[in-house]
Amino acid sequence: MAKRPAHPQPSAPRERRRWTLSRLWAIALVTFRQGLRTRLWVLVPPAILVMILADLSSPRFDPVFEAVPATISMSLLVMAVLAFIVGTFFATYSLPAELESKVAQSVVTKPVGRAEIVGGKTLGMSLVVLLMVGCVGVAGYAYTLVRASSIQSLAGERLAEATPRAAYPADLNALQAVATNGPLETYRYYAATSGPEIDIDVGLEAAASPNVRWILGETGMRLVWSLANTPLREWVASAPGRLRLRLSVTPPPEEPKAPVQVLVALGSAGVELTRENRQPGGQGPVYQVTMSVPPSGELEIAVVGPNVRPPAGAINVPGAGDLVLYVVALQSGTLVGAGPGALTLVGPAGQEYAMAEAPAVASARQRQRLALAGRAKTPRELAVFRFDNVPGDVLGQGDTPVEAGFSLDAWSSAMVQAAAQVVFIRSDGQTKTVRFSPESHHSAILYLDREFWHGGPLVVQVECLTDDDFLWLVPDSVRLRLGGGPFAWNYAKAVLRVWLFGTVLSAIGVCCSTFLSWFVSILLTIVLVLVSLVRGFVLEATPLGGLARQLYDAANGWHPWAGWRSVVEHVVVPLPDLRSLIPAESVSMGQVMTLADLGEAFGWAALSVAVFVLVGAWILRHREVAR
Amino acid sequence: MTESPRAEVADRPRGQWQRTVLYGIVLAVVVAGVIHPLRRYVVEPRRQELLGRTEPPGRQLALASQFAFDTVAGYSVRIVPGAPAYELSDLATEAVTLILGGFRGPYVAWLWVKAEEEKQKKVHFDLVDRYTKIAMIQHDYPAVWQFLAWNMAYNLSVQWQSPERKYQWVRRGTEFLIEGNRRNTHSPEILYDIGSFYMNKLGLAQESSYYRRRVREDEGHSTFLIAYEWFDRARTIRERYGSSGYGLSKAVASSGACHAVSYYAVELTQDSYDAFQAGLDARQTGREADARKHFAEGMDALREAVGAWHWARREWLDQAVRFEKEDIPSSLVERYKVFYREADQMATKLEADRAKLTYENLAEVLAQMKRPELK
Repeated sequence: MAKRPAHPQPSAPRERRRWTLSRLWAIALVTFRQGLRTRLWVLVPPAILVMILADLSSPRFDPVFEAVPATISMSLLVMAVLAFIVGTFFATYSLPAELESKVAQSVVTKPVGRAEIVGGKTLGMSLVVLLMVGCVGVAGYAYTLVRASSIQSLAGERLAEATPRAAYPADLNALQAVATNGPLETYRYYAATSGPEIDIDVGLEAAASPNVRWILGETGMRLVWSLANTPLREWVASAPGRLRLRLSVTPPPEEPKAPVQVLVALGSAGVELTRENRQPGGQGPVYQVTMSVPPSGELEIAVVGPNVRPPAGAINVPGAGDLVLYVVALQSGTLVGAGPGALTLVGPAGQEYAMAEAPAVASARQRQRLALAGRAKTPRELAVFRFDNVPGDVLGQGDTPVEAGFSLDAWSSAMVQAAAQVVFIRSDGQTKTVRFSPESHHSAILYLDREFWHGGPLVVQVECLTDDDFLWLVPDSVRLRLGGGPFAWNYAKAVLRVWLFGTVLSAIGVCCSTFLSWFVSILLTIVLVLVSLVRGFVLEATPLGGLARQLYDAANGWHPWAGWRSVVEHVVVPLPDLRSLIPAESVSMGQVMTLADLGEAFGWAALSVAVFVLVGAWILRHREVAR
Repeated sequence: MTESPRAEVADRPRGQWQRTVLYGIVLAVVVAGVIHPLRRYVVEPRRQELLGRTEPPGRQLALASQFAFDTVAGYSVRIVPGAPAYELSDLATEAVTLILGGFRGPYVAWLWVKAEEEKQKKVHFDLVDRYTKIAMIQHDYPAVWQFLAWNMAYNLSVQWQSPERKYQWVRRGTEFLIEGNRRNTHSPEILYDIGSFYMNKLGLAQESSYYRRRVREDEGHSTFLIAYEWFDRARTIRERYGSSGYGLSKAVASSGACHAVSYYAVELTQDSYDAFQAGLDARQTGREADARKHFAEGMDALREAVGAWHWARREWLDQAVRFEKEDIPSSLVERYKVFYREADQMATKLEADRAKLTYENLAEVLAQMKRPELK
């Protein structure tokens, strides 16, 4: 019997793809009007009042430099809290209320998709947040202008007081800038192309030996020879060998006849050189020895095997690792140098191995920071930063501000005011020197005359002029501080980021409200927001961090890409990084938020909102009441 | 989806706005009128009672009579003796703390995290504000005041180079702690730390020559004398109410005042020596009037120094005698006795110097005197 063809079953009408911007916009407008009818805007005047009162009642250590950043920071905080309140308490209200009042049932019978409902609600709440944040933003901007005018006059008074006491005219630059231009100037940085590189002003006599590499005493600089491919270790395994050094030395100018002492040390590559603190005749191997350099500059150091007790003045070869020889000058102001062929290794049988190349010079370093030792007289260390061909059109119309910022280890007497100088060198060799009093962790602003330099290559030398002090330098220690455009635009960008924060929060709230009652969705939204705010901590302090690192290594091994970290972290903790949407402190301090940063924030916010809208739509589609 | 907004607007009774504002004002006044007295007269006395800081009836009577006398004399006194002096200016912070309700915890945790982050990043523009807010919310914890004040006086001050800036941070830390004392009058730890800031930071730090001059300009007294006053209060409060938290031992609380007096005596001795030296210099350059003026100043300072050394001697003697009877290491008591003997010898020697010192023999006597060091 022939099979009868099966009757086609009447299938449930499939939901057409209903995703039009007009319907989305219509729902958004309805939600927006609903927000206005709910009188959410009544929160705006109290928020403005709180902002002003909180700012006025907040103590400041130095109002000239702190009041305006603090005011901006406070206004952004108030906006963020407002966005949080709207996103948490009101974005979660709309859907449960409509489901409760059965309004939703009549809506879903209309040709409207679930994604359009959730997306429209989110967009509507986002508009409410924009309106409220915008109102507070406008008030915050106006209030900041008022504060700025009072700060400018205060800076003028302070400048008049400080001028007689200033050690150098450049010390007043920052105060002068506020007094003249007000505290609302924005800026962006132009980084040096290279630097810092540590060098020495060696003086005329030493400069006559161009092939010699120099180090300066008590600065942490050292001459370094790599002995990895030499036979020293094999030679001294059976009997003692020797290191023959020929050094050039220049005693400090203040003590020209003082004997020059150096520390000679053998170490392993990758192991930081530290001073041994051992008692004479103590047990264990000896890796370093202190010696006086005779006028001839010739030194001979006996070297023995790793397990041999060394006689006085001899050193052991480290048992493992690539061998490295260090020479360190021990007195302040002493110059010690070595050129090509300055080191010869002598074996037990008198065999010789001459090192043809000149030693390398290493500077004192702590993690990523380089130490620049201070000295009142030359020779002294200097740090070099280079700017390659800076375009003149980015420098603006006036003098170019240069920001010099370091951390300062002041070992000089507490009552000695530290001093530093910066030498600007043009491509034609013309120089301009500016002296100032460095503050630890607080940048100095120096001005470079437009007539002296306005674009092109520039070399900047930094020197510390006080004995015993150290400046710690990073690549950003010297950078050009260029004008950043109108304050209003930068502030508006910050407000936009707060709005993005509120929009993502609203998306979370609307998504939670698709399957929970109002109160429960408030609680869930708060929990999700808090976890989002501390997701960095979650990734650091929980096993999820380890999992993220493993995934990152695997993905990077498969295809190297810097963006894997962010992707993997969002896979492991699938919540948006809300903290990154809130403007950083640097924005409050006047640093320009770049359009790229803003675009990135927009991108992340849009992606987060899309995910929450789709999840919310999926949940809503599967809710009984909405089928 | 929703009702027409126009209909809602039409239904809204007239005058609703005014009523809302009026209700808001009434609510604010009632809340303000309740919070402050509640805190001052109910919550705080109860808290003190729970902490075991109530006065016995006899002492209450004595304090009440003192209160009456002081009031008649025109002094501003506290109704609850020894209780924190709540003022009307605290109303705002009290109200904010109350309004925050359960959010106080997360908010103060966020403030702690931000403040610590900013300290590490050397971003200072909001730091004092954050510290103040933390302290306002957690004002009942002496350790909070101590920690934050220490940060300002010791960790933040050294992030600056100029003595002026450093001094401002130390002052800020000290004032912060004095405010902490106002809110925690029974905390000997806070009182001891204030004394310690004056003595160790302002009096003995590397920059102390500058600091001591500034303290004298700002407060009109020697920093060691001010330190003594705070240490003295610390030991009194420690005796009466004990210590809480990580604790402040009786011996330590008590010895601070003795050290402060000793340093005060050293400082006065230095002053007299410096005045005599200035007199000699003036005499050598032929400025006779200046020389006599400096000599007179030196004699005055020497007289005060002798008095201060006697005072230090008494303090150390009391300390040694008292703690001989208490359970503390004997080495500590021995040290007190050494300090006592030093003070006694200095007082005797300076008295003898003073007796034989005349304008004429100044050079000979001064050659035998040694300028003491603050250490």
